[in-house]
Amino acid sequence: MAYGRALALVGALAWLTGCALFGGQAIAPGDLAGAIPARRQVDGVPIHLQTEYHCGPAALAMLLAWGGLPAAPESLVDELLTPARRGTLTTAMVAAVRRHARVPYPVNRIEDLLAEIAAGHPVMVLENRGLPGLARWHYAVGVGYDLNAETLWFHDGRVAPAKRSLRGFNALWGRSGSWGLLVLPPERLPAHVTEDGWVRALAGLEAAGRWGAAARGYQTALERWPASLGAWMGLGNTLYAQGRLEAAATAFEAAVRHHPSAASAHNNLAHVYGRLGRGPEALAAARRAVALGGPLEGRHRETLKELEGAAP
Amino acid sequence: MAHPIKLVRATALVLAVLMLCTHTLVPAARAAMVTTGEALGASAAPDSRARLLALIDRADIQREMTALGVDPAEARARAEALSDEELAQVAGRLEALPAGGSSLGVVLGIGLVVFLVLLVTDILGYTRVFPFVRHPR
Repeated sequence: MAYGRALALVGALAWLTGCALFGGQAIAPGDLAGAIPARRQVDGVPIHLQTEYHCGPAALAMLLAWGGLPAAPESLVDELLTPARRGTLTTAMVAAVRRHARVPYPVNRIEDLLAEIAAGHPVMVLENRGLPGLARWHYAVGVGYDLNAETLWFHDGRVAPAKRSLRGFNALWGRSGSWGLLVLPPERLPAHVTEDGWVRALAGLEAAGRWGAAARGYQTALERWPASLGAWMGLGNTLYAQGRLEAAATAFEAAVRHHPSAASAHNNLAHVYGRLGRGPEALAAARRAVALGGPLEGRHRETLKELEGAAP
Repeated sequence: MAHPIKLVRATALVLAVLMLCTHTLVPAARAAMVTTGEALGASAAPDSRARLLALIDRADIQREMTALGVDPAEARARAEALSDEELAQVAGRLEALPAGGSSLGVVLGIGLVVFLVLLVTDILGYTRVFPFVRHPR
């Protein structure tokens, strides 16, 4: 029964190491060859050393510097650290990215991670380097890969970039929930971008009150998707928030031109017309919004009521 | 004097009505522009109850952050930079969610691995490290 025991031992070891050795999904270089270059390194990502519990600030500082906003990791500690957790929660990271007027865009698949590095975008990753029951969460920044050697390299808070096997990283990252994040200037679309994903990422920036950056992001979206309802709505809303009423009206006009049945676009157009003193047009747009109905009909009715009340 | 339970119920009712009133008044005061986030989520469920819940979550999550040592003003700034959807995902779970900190503690993890490996090998009879493992024979 020596074989049985040996097998049990191997099994126990595999479990203990979190299956990193055996559970990794193989990625054949052939799967990706052609789609992306065989080897790529992102330039312009500085190395910041990590002091205790401060891999979050170090990782964010590296990505901000890459996007043209050099920052010392120590200056980011207050907005990232949750003292009782002695680390940086992913929500704090996403919020901090927005507060620096950068677009946080999720990366959750290894193919996307490689495609982003290929496009010259460094990727922040969060991995559990401990055991499932004894977590040691760590942020690192993926800056390069080599498909032939099946390796990736990371700036992970140490002096030199850490070279890792693609397979080993994929297993550990997958086990850790595959959390990855781009920190992009609003003029730059991710390689694996979707229209909905980008507009949602910008809506978060808008919610954080970074109007200028969000507006630039919506303009970037419109270069790729000229008829995007979300992007025209977002552009109109961010311009409106900045008090640029004429430009906001133009954006909402484009939204209703491309999407005549988008009730909320008519509603917002009515509102801007109202502020611009274009009463009859405002009433017409508000009536159209109400007639179109939809889940926000109540809000549209309020706009109409308000405009009717304002009319002489 | 009213029965205490009745009093509590009456107070709760008054509070609930007040909360609903203040909530329904909010959009009217904001003059009914539809935000981009709302427009995107319009197909989901932007009804007033979901928005009321989001409102409560926002204050709750700030308290939760403060309890974990985050400065109150900083907690507010963080919560403001998150969407309702994002807040709903983490509300009540900050204590358990991954917090990237340091890999320096891995040494401790390695110690545990060694312990568990030796425990398994002890149980299998390959080693005799721990006296508390009952050995065969």
